[in-house]
Amino acid sequence: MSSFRRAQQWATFARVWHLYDMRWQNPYESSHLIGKYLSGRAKPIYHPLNDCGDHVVVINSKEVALPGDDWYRRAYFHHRTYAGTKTWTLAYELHEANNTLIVKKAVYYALDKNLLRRPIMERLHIFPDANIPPAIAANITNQIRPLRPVPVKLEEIPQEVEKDCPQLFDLPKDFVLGGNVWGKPEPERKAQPIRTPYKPWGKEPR
Amino acid sequence: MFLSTLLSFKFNPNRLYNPGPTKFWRRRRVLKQSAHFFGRRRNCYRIAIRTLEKALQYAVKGRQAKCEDLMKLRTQRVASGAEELGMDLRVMRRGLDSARICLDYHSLADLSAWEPRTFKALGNFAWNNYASQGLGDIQSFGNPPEGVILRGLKKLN
Repeated sequence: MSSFRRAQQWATFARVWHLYDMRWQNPYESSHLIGKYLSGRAKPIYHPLNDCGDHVVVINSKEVALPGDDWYRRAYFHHRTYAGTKTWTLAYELHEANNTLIVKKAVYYALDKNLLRRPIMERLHIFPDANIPPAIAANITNQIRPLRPVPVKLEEIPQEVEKDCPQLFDLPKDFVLGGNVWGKPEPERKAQPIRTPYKPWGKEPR
Repeated sequence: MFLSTLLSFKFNPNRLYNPGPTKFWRRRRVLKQSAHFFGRRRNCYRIAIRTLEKALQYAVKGRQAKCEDLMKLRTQRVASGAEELGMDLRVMRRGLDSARICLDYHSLADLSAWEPRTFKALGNFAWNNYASQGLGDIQSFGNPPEGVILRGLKKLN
């Protein structure tokens, strides 16, 4: 190796593949973290015109957790560019139709709004569960630490641990803690886009 | 060109209003600055002076924006370099400041990209120095890396 090439480090410009587990994560907080790796802002060689971003593989996108009552309050706008075709789809309806779209849209909005946004989105690979194609799984070399710890459900606690916990209250058998606190709409409503334009342009419904 | 104009100003006896050479040179200063504009904005004084004023305003804005953009970029680079070491920008900045290591973001960003080992040594020192002061929630990053000797250099009052 000549003395002039001694400082060349081609691996600096390699694209790293990161894994992110979306189970019980807030997509709107995680999207900024994912966008940081996608656009290359996690590297000291970053420049807005320098295409140095990495790949991010998101798994378990169907187990994403929205904050508060966002499943029933957050609306996704779409217009087919024909008259009368504007739709506002609620988050839980969108999730029933396609369980990767909420994560995809969150990351798309979190990225910088420029011409590099769509090429950057090509490097985001979202999977609804932990089944990754082996061609993609072979590339992954790093895992991004999730923002929140995954909570343990009451049903998942084993019997032995549950016995040791002290029982403070005698609750009735049919009592469901936190059953309907967020005001879920009537259950017979089907997952379909809303035709009534109740949302003004560019603002969230309250 | 300007010589003949000057002569006509000076020696044309038929001219009722002779503005004299001062006005000529004043305008020539403006027209020299507008020499690269397009159309009449280049040569007609009344149009050139308007365009030139606006162009100078844009230049001032551009100078400020350039500073802000570079500051943002360098801060971003130092932050990503610090996060690669396992801490964050605030620990890096406070750790260096409290030891009176006066490196600006320009130097630190250059080090993080082109001298990663120097940056790592500085970062490990900053982390240890900040952790030794017992400020903030430094424990969330874990223990600082070993091999740094502070020799009592920690507190800045």
